[in-house]
Amino acid sequence: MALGLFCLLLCGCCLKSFSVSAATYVEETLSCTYAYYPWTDGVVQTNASHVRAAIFPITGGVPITCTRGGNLAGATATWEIAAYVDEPVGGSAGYFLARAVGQSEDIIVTPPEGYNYLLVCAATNANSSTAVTVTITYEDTSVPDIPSYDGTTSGSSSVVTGIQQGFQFDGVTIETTSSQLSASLVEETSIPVDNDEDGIADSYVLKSTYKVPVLVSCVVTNTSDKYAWLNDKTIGYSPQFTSNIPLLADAATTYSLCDIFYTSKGFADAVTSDGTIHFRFDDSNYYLGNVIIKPMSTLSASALLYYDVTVITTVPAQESFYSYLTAVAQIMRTTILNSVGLSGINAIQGMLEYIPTDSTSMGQQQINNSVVVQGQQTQQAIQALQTQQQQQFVEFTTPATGTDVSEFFAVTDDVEGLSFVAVTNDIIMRFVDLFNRDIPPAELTFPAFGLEIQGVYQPFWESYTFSFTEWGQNFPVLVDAMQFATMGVLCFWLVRYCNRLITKIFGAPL
Amino acid sequence: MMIALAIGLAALVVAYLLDLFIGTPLELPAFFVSFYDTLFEYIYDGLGILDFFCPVEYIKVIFGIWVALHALYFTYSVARWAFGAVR
Repeated sequence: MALGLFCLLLCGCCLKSFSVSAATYVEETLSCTYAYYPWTDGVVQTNASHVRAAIFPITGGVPITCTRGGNLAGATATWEIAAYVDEPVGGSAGYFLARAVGQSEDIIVTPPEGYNYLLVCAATNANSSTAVTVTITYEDTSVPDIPSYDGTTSGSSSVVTGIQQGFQFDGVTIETTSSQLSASLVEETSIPVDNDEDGIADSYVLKSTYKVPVLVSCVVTNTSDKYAWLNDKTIGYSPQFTSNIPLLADAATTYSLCDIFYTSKGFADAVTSDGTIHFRFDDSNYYLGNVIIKPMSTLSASALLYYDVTVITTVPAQESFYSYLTAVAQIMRTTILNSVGLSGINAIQGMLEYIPTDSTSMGQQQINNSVVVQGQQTQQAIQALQTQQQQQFVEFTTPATGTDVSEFFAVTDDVEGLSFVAVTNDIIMRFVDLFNRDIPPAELTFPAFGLEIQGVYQPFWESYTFSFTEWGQNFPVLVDAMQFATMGVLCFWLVRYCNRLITKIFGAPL
Repeated sequence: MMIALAIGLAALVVAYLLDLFIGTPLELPAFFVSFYDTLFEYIYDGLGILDFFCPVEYIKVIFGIWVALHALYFTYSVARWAFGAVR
């Protein structure tokens, strides 16, 4: 009867569905600004003036604005900034970034990839009794954007012919027809986020680093100008990308897509016979989502036509780019070649093709439909990509079930909060788990005994632990024989049980 | 055997009814929790002595065979009773 109860309860417990609580995945908020107020990590002081140093944890590759503050009236002293890889102080992998003079001059630097600390040294000769402060500000681009394009388009009817442009999403490479460019995942790391600064990570953000080859080509129609170049402010990170970007500016205008941070990455490597100049950026590590390329020329701007420009945009930039595509009345056809890959990152590749047409209503409608469809497809693909990323992240960060005995026996809130059937299941599973754990040592403890006589405790004997293991060491043959006999008894009982069953079923022993 | 089956089914129904009407989460009495915690602690300590006389690994195998045989016989009995009841 007891076995019947046991089996039925076991079946009942198996019917109970269990809910799994997923770990929280916190997405990084873009355009957030971190400000640090230094002078807690290191202080260096001389007699002549205040010289201060501070160390900031940073993410390499992200532009940082450093502003010196405090009571700096009349200050003319220099201050400088360097980046370090792993050892912020005394490390061998230091990298000098910039130096500034004066009180109001900001330093905008981009530490190289892999450099994790920023050392800021500031000095002042203005007021020796006032501390110097340095505030660093940067946009956290550790997590790619989530495209939020909803398919709506708008824009003017300006037409610029002969232009082909592609663009690039986060985690999605949409390639132009003439250049096969693709983004590849370099590494993925989880960065702990400690909001309350208690030294324990509250959450993690996933930082994905991509390697993006960038190609910019310009056609020089006036062959007398055999060269053009990209301004030194042509590629960088664009946190201030707005919808008022003069994408349709006249070619004669020396325009900029936006005011961005400087990176001298571009160079003109050749002038071909047809007047095509290629600006090829080397395969550096760029963060997807915020890179803007701005081809421009100061010599023969009126003669330049730009095409085949790969633009890596932020979300508002993508919307602006859709508007731009509509405005120039071109038909976009995108093919998503691959959807989410195994690693969940480097798999979505697409292709864009632009066919110049007139800005008629038919063309406008075609563009709208095409943009809506492609926007939805791309959104679905990216959502699937990010869902898989989050699942992998949850699996990676969720701790395994503890196997400690003390934890096993502890009364936790989980146990008290269970339902009746789940409690029964929990008890049964605990019992079963007893036999899957390490066997404790064979010991038998006799407790101490004593009496309290007239307020004085009188011990009769102390506690004594009898170890069976010593028996096995002193009398191995005897213990083996005993174990053999015990096994024999068990096996005999099992055979006898089988015999009884057969007798019950068939009526006579075989 | 049939009585055991009936009692088991009743216990199962009662368990689900308790789940339904008492509601979740179930607040277990502290003494109950401490009782089976202590019980399991004793059982776990006793496993060492049991293992000394007969290895627990063998006991697990023999117990598994016994449960399988008993379950077979239980199923056989239920089927036999059902056939008898139908007939």
